[in-house]
This record gives sequence, C-alpha cells and structure tokens, in this order.
Amino acid sequence: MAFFTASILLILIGLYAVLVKRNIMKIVIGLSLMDTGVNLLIVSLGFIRGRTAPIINVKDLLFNTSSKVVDPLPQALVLTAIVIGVAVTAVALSIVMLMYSKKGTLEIDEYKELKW
Amino acid sequence: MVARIFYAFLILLGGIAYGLLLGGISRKITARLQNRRGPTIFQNFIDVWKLFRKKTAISHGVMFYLAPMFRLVGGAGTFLLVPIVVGHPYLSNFSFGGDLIVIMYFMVLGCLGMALGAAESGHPHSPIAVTRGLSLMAGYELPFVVSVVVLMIADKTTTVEGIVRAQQGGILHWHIFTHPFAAAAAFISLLGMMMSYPFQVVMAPQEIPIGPPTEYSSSFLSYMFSGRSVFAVAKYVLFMDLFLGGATNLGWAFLKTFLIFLWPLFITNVFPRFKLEQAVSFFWTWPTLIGLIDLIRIYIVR
Amino acid sequence: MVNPILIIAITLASAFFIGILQVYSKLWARLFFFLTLVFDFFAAGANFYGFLSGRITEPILVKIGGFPPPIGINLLVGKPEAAIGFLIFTIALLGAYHWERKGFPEPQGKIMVLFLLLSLGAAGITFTGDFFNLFVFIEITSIAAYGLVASAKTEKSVEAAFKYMVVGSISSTFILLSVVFLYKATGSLNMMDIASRIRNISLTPIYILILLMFLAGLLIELEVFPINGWALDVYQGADPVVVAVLAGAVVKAFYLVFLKAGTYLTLPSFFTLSLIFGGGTYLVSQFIAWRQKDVKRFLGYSSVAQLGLLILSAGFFLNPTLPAFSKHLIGASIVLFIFNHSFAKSSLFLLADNVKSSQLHGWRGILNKNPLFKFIFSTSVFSITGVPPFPGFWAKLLLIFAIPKNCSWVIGLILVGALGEIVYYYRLFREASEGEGEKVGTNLAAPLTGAILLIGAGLVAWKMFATQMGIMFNSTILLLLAFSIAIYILGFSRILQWAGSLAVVGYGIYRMVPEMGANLHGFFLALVLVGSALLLLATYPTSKRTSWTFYPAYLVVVFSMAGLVLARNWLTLFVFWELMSWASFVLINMGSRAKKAAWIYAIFSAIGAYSMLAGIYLLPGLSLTHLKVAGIMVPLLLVTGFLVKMATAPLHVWARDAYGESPDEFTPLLSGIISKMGVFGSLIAILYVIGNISSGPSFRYILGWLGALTAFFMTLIAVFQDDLKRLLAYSSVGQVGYILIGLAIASPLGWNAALYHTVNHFIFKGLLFVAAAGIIYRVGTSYMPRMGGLIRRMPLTFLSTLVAIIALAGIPPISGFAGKWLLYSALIEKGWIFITVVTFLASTVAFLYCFKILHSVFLGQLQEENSNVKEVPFPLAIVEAILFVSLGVLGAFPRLLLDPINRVFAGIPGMESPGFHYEKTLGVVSNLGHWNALFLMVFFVGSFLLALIFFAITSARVKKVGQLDVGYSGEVPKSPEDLHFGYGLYDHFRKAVKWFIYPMVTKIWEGIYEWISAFAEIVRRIYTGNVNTYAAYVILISIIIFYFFTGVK
Repeated sequence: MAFFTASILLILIGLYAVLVKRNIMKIVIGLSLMDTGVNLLIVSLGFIRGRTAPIINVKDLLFNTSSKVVDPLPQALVLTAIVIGVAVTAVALSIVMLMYSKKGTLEIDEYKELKW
Repeated sequence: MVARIFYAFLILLGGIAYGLLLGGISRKITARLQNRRGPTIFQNFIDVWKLFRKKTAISHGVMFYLAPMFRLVGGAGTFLLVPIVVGHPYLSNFSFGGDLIVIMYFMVLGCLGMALGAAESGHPHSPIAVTRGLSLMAGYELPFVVSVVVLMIADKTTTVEGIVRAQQGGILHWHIFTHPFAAAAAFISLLGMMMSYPFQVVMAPQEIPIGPPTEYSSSFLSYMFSGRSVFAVAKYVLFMDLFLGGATNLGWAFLKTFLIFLWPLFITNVFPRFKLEQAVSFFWTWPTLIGLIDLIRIYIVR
Repeated sequence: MVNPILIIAITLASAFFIGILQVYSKLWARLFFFLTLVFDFFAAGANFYGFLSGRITEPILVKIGGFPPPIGINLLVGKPEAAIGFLIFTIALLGAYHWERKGFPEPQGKIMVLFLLLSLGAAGITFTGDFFNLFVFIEITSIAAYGLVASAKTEKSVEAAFKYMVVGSISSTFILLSVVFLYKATGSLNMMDIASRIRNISLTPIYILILLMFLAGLLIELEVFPINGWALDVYQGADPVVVAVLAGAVVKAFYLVFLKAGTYLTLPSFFTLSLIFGGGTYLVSQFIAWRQKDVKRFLGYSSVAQLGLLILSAGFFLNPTLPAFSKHLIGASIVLFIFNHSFAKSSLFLLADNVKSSQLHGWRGILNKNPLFKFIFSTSVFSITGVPPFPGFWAKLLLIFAIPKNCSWVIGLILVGALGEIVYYYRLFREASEGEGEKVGTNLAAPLTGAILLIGAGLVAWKMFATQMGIMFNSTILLLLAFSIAIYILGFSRILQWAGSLAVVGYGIYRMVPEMGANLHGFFLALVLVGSALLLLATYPTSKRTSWTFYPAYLVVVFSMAGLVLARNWLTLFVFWELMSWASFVLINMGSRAKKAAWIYAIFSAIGAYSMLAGIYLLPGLSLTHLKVAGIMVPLLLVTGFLVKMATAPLHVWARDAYGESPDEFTPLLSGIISKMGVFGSLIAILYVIGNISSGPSFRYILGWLGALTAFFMTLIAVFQDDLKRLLAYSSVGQVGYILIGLAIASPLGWNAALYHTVNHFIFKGLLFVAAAGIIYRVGTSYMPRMGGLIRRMPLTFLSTLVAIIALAGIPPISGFAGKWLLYSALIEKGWIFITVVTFLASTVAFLYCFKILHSVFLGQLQEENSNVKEVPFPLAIVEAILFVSLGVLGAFPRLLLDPINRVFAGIPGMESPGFHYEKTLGVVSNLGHWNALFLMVFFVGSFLLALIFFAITSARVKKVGQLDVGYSGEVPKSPEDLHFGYGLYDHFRKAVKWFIYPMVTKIWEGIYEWISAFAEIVRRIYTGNVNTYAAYVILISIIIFYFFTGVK
C-alpha cells in the first residue's frame, strides 16, 4: 500500500507541475515525474510480499517458480515504459530547446500564438 | 351575331356620347360652383371634334401611335363587358365574355396602353404622372377589392349578372343597403378611380399639367378623350350593377349612373389635394377598415 | 497475403537504415524511403484486396515468437484493420510524394525516419491484438508525431508540438495505467482474451474506472471537445503534409482502437459517452469554425467535427439493440465517412500548402488562378459538406436512415451541425472564388489523386448503397447525366458545347417522350425538358466569359430535375434534389458578383434540404403514396425544403442576389424551371402527406397565407428595385407565391390555377429573363436608370417583353389572366376571403413594376451611350418569339393547357372533375363565373384593328419627330439624359409604404447569423492557447467522466 500511495502521490505532484507551473522546463519535469510515478505504480502492482525478483539465476527458483517470484509481466512492461519515458523526455527537451532558441524564454505564457 | 355587333356599336357610340356629355356637365357644375359661367355642356363634343379635325399630328414612335387605340379599345371594351340591363338581348352587352374578375383586369388594359404611349413620348411629366396614377390605383384598389369580395362571397357568384340578380326584389335588396360598409368603401375608392379632388394627383395641374398625355395632340388626343369618357361611363355602370341593383331599362340606367356620377363631382369641388403618399395611406386605412367591417361580417355569418 | 508483421518490421528496419544511409547519400536515402513506402502500400493493399475479393476469409493472426494468442504478443488483421492499414499507407505515400515534389524539408534524413515511424506506429496501432503492444505503438506514433510537428521549426510548429506532447503524455499515462490495471484485473493483455474474460467479471466500479480511463485516453487522442485545443494548434501550426497524415491516417487508427474498445471492453456507458462527446464535439466545432479566420485551423475545426460524427456513429454501431440492417448501414456509413474525411481533408491540407497565406483573406480569389486547383478544392469541399454524388453525401444519408426513430433528436443534431458546416465551408468557397487572387503553387498531384479517389468512391457508393436504401434511378437519366459531364470536353469551343448540349437535351426529350404528360410526373417532366431546351437555346454563347463548366453544370441541373420529377420515392427525389441544388450553386457562383449570393444560396439550399431530409426520415414510408402522418412536424419539415426553392417568405432572402447576380444565361432556368421544382415538391407533399394529417386544412391555410404574403411583399419590394434582374427576381418570387396559394387551396380549381400558372410563369418569366440577358449583353449594364428608349433599337424584344408583361400582370387577353381567374375563382369558392384580398392587392401593385420595366428599359429617352445598340442576338430573338407567340396562343386557347392539366389530375382521387367546364358562348364556366378567352382575344384584337384602321384612314397627317422634340416650357433640351425620368421612379409611393418594405426578415436572418457567431466567439475563447489550461481541461473532463459514469456517487 505504501508503494501504491507513494506512486499516486508522485503522479499527482507531476500533474500539479503540468497544471500550474509556468516554466516549460518545470512542466517537462512534471511529465517526467508522472511517468516515474506510473512506472512505480506498475511495479507495485506486480509485487507480492515475501517473494523475490523473477530472475532465474538461483537454483531454488528453477522449480515451482510461479509461487516463488513476483508477477514478472509488470516488470517487463515497466522496462518498456521506462524506455519510452526516456524517449519522450528526450523529444520534449529537444522541443524545449527549439522553443528557447525561437523566443529566448521559457515562460509558457509567451507561447500562446496558437489559440481560439 | 351581326345584329348584335351592330347594336353593340350603337351602344358604344351612346356610351361615348353620354360620357362626353357627363364631362360637359361636370365642367358646367364646377364652373357654377366657382361663380363662373363655364362652357356649354356640349363643350367636350366640340373639343373632340376640333381635335379630330386637326390637320397634322405629332408622333413619337410606334407605341405612342398605338396608345390612343389602346385607350379607346380598353375603355370601350370595358364598357361593352359590363351589362347595362341584365337579361336584355342587346343591353346586356358582351357580358358573356367574362365575369367581374375579367372586367376588373380588362379595365387595366387601356390604362396600360395609354401609359406606355405616354412614356414613349420622352416627356418627363408623362412617366411622373403615370407612376402617380399607378400608385394611386394600388391605393384605391384595396378598398374596392374588399367590397367586391364581400359581394362575391355574399352572392356566391363572380358574375355581374349574378350580383345584379341577387339584388332584385326591392330597393332594400340593393347592396348599398344590404352591405352598406362594403358599398361605402367602394364609393370612396370610386373617388380615386375618378381622380376627384382629394385624390387628384395624376393630372395635378399645378405640377404636371395634363398628366400622362402631355405630348398628345390633335386626333390622338381626341381618341384618348373619347376613350376616357366611355371608360368613366363603364365604371358608373359597373357601380350601378354592383351596388344599386342594376337597371331594368335605359331610363333607370341613366338615372342611376347620373346619381353615381354626381357623387365624386360633389366631393371634388370642395376639397384640396392630397399628396400621393397621403392618398395611398388614406385608401389603405379608412375605407379599407370600413370595408373590412362587412368582410368580417360575411366571414362570420357565412 | 502479406504478413502484417513484415510491413511493420521492414518499415522499422528501413527507418533505422535510412538514418545511417542519409549520412552518405541523401538521394539514395530518399529512394530507399520511397521504396519502403511503396512496399508498404502494396503490401497493405494486397491484404485489403485479399479481404475484398474474398480470397482471405479469416482474420490474419500473427503469432510473434510463435506463442499462441493469450500468451504471446500477436497481430490480428481482419477486414477493417486491413482497410485502415491500406488507408494509412496510401495517405502516407501521397504525403511523402507531395513533399518530394515540393522539395523535401530539411533535415531530410530525420524527417524521413520520423515519417516512417509515424506510419508504422499507426499501422501497429491498427494491427495489434494486444493492449500493451497497443500502448507501445501509440507511443511510437506519438513521439514521431511530436518530432514531425516540431520539424517545421517555425515558432508556431514548435509551440504546437509542445502542447501536443504535454497533452499526449497525459493521454498515454491514462492508457498505460488502464492497460496495467486491466492486466491486474483480468490477468491478460490480449484483446480477444480480455474480451472473453471480462464477460465473466462483475463490473464493479473499479473495473469501470479502469475501462473509462482507457476510453478517456482515447478520447483525448480522438480530439473531442473541449480537450482538443492541442489538436487545433497542431492543425494550424504544423507542416500541412504532417497534418494531412495525422488527420487523414493516424487519427483513423485511433478511431479503430476506439471501435475495438467499444467491442472488447463491454462498457455499459459506451453508447452514452460516445453520444455526448461525439455529438457535442460535432455540434460545437461546426459552429466555432464560423469565426475562424485562419484556414488551416478552420480545417482543423472541421476535422474535429467529422471525428465527432464518427464517434457518435460508433456509439450507434456498437449499440447491441440496433437491428442488423441498421448496423450494416451504419458500418457502411462509417467506412464512407473515414474514406471521405481522410482524402478530402488531406487534399484540402495539401492544397493549403500551395497557398502562401493561411489567412482567409489570403485565399481570396485563388480559385480563379488555376482550374485544377479549383477542381480539387470544389471536389473536396463538396465531398466534406455532403453533396451528391460524393461519398460524404452517402455517408450522411446512410447514417441518418440507420439511426432508430426513438433517437430522432440525433438526426436534428447531425443536420444542424451539417448546416453550420455549410456556412463556414462555403464562406471559404466564396472568399476563394471572389476576384483575382495571388498565384497558387502547382504541387497538386497528391491532392488531385485524393479528389479522383473521392469521385470514384462516390460513384461506387452510389452503386452499392442506393438500391439498398430503396433509391431507384432511371437508367436513361443516368445516361443523360453522364453525357452532361462528357460535354465538358467540348469546352475548347463554347459554340460546340452549346450545340452539344442542345443535342443531349434533344436526345433526352426523344428518349423521354413516352413518359411525358401522362400524369403529374410526366407533366412536370415535359415542362422541365421542353422548357430547358428552349432556355438552353437562349444561352447561345455570346461572350467568352462562359466557363468550361457552364454547360455541364447546366445539363446536370436539367437532368437532375428530370430525375427528380420522375422519382417514385422520397429518397430518390432527395438525391436528385441535392444534385440540382448544388449544380445550380456552381452555376450561380459563376456570376462575377455572385459570390456572396451563391454563399447565401448554399446556406438556404442546405436549410431546405436538411429539413426535407428530416421530414423524409420521419415519414412512415418512403414511396410516393398516401402516407399517414400525425402532427404538423413532418409536413412542416418536408414542405420547408420545397418552400426554400420557391423562395417563399420568410425563406426568400437568398433569391434577390441569386437571381440578380447569377450568370445571365442561367437566370431564366433558375426562375423559370428550378423554382417550379419547389412547386412540384409542394404539390406531392400536399397530395401524399399533408392531405392526410389531422391538422391538414389549417396547415394548408398557413401555406396559403405564406403564399399571399410572399406575393404581396415581394411584389411591393420589386417596385423599388433599380436593377433589372433584381426586379425580375422579386417579381418571380412573388409570382411563385400565387402558385403556392393555388397549391394550398387543394381544390380542383386551385390546383388547375397552380399548374396553369406554373407553366405560364415559366413562359413569361423565362421570356423576361432571356430578354434581360439580351439587353444586358447589348447595353452592358443591368441598372435600369442607365437604359431607356430601347424600343427604337430592339423592337422585337420590346414586343415580346410587352406581351410577357401583360401576361405577368394578368391582363386579358394574354394567357397570364387564366391563372389569375382560376386562382380567384378557387379562392372565393374556398372562402379564403382575406387571402383573396391580399392577392388582389398584390397583383395590382404588380402593375407598378410592370410599367417600370417597360418604361425604364424601353420607353422614354434613348441615352446617348446606347444609341448604337443592336437587337438581341439571333438565338435569343428566336426564343423570345417562340415564347411570346405561345403566350398569345394560350391567351386565346387556354384549353391547350387546361386539358392536359385536367388529364393529369384525372387520376387523382377527389380531383376527377376539374371544377369547371366549357360552354360555347360563356367559355370556361366555374361554379361562380365564366370567362371566354377566345371571345376576349377576338374582341380585343378585332376592335383594336378596327380603331387603328379607322384612325389611319380618317386622321390627319402624322408627323414623326425626334426624341428631343418635346414641349418643354419653351426650352430646347440639350441631351436625353436631362429628360429621362428613370431614377427613383416610385419614390413617392415608397413614402406611403415604407413600413411594409422594411427588410425585417433579412434583418432577422442576419441577426441569427450574428448571434451564432457571437456565441461561437465566446465558446472558442476556451482554447486559450495556454498548455496549462489544456492540461487542466483534460483532467477536468476525465474527472467528470470518472465521476458520472463509474456509478459511484
């Protein structure tokens, strides 16, 4: 439950940054935080108390594996999700760079040319 | 048929003569009212004859040339479509040719032809007068139509004969008594039709002397004059048929049409002149409202 | 069959390879890029063709890594997936080709990589059968899309990319969360597997929340209102090619996922949600666009609206209570919508790429620069706004008729939205065709392909669905329509086109003779074909101005009218009705000052057509037989459509300019025959529907009043027009008012009057407009005070105009009187006395403008600048002669027309007796009165000749004088200009009736337009342009969805 709460909190903090912060960098950080929160949440979903990581490098995991390890699928998913998160952050940062090079500011209020 | 055409021709001549005579009388009465001696009551005959005998005539074009014929044929045609004595072999005229609706539209033909000829003359006064005349017509047509519709609905017919027949059986069956409001509306609109004085905007001597036929002269004018006279008689006869129970013989016809003729004459001499828009507004309000009383009555009791 | 994984894998591999290759050779990289896209195109095409031809019957299942479905990731490609896949690569190829022709944007290599990733991501979204895989593909697509949007490197594009990225990240967070929770709840990620498992799970609020989260994520990607600000910004800011691919292809992949979500994740509130968000988005976007001045953003609003309609359709499509046939129709409609929107919108965006400015005023006149551009633009706009025979039309029709009757308010929503769409699209059309604009680019190959595909798809849809809907087409009409289009190729010579058109119409008459005259349909058919042939004769191309498309469009109008009157089914009638309306829109738009008029015409046509469509939808059956209808709603809707074409008040405001400014060659048809289609429609509506409703008489009484008021007010306004064609326009509208009165009376006399006047009005108003065309051609203006005295130059035209005017005024002995006489007799017989009075007055007022036409044009003083004009061109003179002779002949022998009319009505119950009979002396005798036309003619002509001869013999020498020789207070006038009284002819009368001619109705319509615009202005302010706000809307809407639809309160 602690994982659960913490990750939800992380998502909300990220969301707060996206909704409220005026600085573009902070918004990107917020997105990144959200991403992390989601990843944590996914991992926590697969967590089962008293079990070990689903990496079969120890002898006694070879038999009855499914009763000894946590759910491996969320972890596999999270790996993908992390990679995607990194990619998104990279693209986001490069867009931010472009924005800064155009207008020389990171204030979001300066970027309202497209509206209505 | 030949006999019929012959008699129609006679009746038409009579109508023209009667019309010219009424014109003369009207000039005389007007003069007397104004403390003048006035011309003789036969003055209009003299005028027509004089104009007809003129040696040259000026023409401005084809339509100008044809317009007097239009005027004469329009007036004469209207006169011949209205029965003078219903049921009479000759005096019922050519009333088989059409009912009241036909007559009301045929009436316009002469005016239209005259207007076109006048307009072709190229004199600016002519179209001014014509447009005034047409506008005035739009004015007085409304109360007239209201009362005509009352009669048509009341008598369940659109023929003049039918309307006359519906008034037989005593003076109180005349529509002027059975539908007094409709009759009042129609008689007020007659003032417009006759261009008597409060509504005299077409000839309007002070502004556009003579009105539409400004450019007309000599024999052209004589045709127009005759046409207008017989047209006036046609309207009197029509009003007689519609409101005064028609006529059983020529004597009654003369009497009743003469009475109708006197009505605008009396009005015309005691009133000043409306402007056109005032005239139209007047026609579209008071006489129409009066006529509507009977229309609504008919609508309810029907 | 090509393994779908190959498409994805090869594209992915090639994307990476290009990334390396471009370092060494840009040319080879581009070659490789196109090779990949072409391969994808053919591979996806092969799969789709396999499904179409029936060679592939089962969905293609790809087991990745050899694991069977529930365990391993797999792709599942059925017919819909194959179709969308093919669509994606077609659009992608078109877009890439457009780039190639334009000059590939820099940095080429990176853009190519991103472009490939975007297409393969979209394909993956479409093909995948696994939820997590779906998420991955969504991310691939999104990241590529962010990059591509930003790649234009303008301030706007970068800004748009950033907003897209922020909102897109929130959306993918939602999707990822719900996918994982879904796994937690069901223990599976496979779509089919989850679908089967979920049926066994009780839907607790938590599950519903999970599903809703997925849906919310999708709704963000599907650009629903109000969480679509990012999308609009992308449409406005990004490179048009990117936008074309996003709007045309990528969004469609998301839509397919939406459909799958609706199918697999049996969500109870799916229907409600899609109705609210789809319908809301559709309706709101169609109106917000009204105020939009940026063309690309405006197209964005339209895209959003179309998507909304698709979402709404999805709700109905997946509604289990829908009958199978309706489901089939909606499915077809969705396919058509997707196709239509993908190609039409991509074409429009690619066209926008050819225009320098994206502002509305920057588009001014660009259509007149390049005919190809105009063709593509018109095709795309027509298709999007649902003009037959384009796919958009069929899509809308299928959707509407598939929606069950208990949801009929949805029809209202769809049609109102469609009306909004017409308003702003045709404003763009108006702007783009007005005047001479800047040069446009010539990179048109890709959009041209789109336009051709649209036409093809429209025809295929016509063939496939028309019969399923019960729409029957006369094969001769179709053949003739094909000929009409074919006339286009003769465009190098106008004369040849004219002759060819005459030949086609002649052939049409020859083929259609057996159908003519026998009944109501045949009667109108004869009017349409013979009348059009005559008026076509008078379009003799005197000027080089005539556009290549004039004759094709003219013939399409003619033959769609023929098809319309032959229809035995309301829907067939509607299809031809729309065809006629829009073809005449094209024709009106050809007038050099008619752009605004055409716009208003389009709007009112649409009001009419949509209200008619709603009426048809509500009818209990589609065939033209007596239908039992309760209430006043259905006939009202039905008849509104027809009243628009008749320009009955208060739907008349389009008429003045449409008649006044349309090409002079076309106006006779518009007034003479097209308006009569409204008469035909009203007649059959009264006959088959209105006659049966309980409130029938009162409804007809209202119609009668509408006719009378139209006649009165239009006549009154006509009096004050100084423009010849506008005057005739108002006159025409007023005259059709009389016809409506006759129709409304619905007694034998009344209908005789109506039909008689219909034909008669065609003759005299056709004649007047033909004469007007000739006069305007010779004099060079339609402003009457600049004319005058033309009787001396155009005697034949004067004579025919005079006769036509006498007919118009209804003065015996010319034929116009017959209609008046029958009408008044019918009115008095019926006892509608107040209407009688108004009608009488209207026809008296008509004399005023009758004189005005004759005087201002032909009489009075001939102006100096007109002293050399000649008689109208010969073909026009022939037509004038034919028409005025027929007016005279009909005047003397009205039975020539009355007998056929009576034969037409003989077959209709209650109409067997015409309400009058003939007698030798009295002529036509009704129950009330009589009228002897022949006598009047002989009497008048005879006495006129007699008087004339007598005058000629007896009178004095007649001396002809010059036009300036008038008695003028002793002065000698110098110039005709001083003497001509042509301006302000009825100013005095205007003072008397100023209260009646206040343009109240126009002001009301303008007011409605202004109010909606103002409302749109307020609503569109929610798109503040601030990304915080956009994100806040997303969260807010999601919370609202979660709150209201999970069932937890």
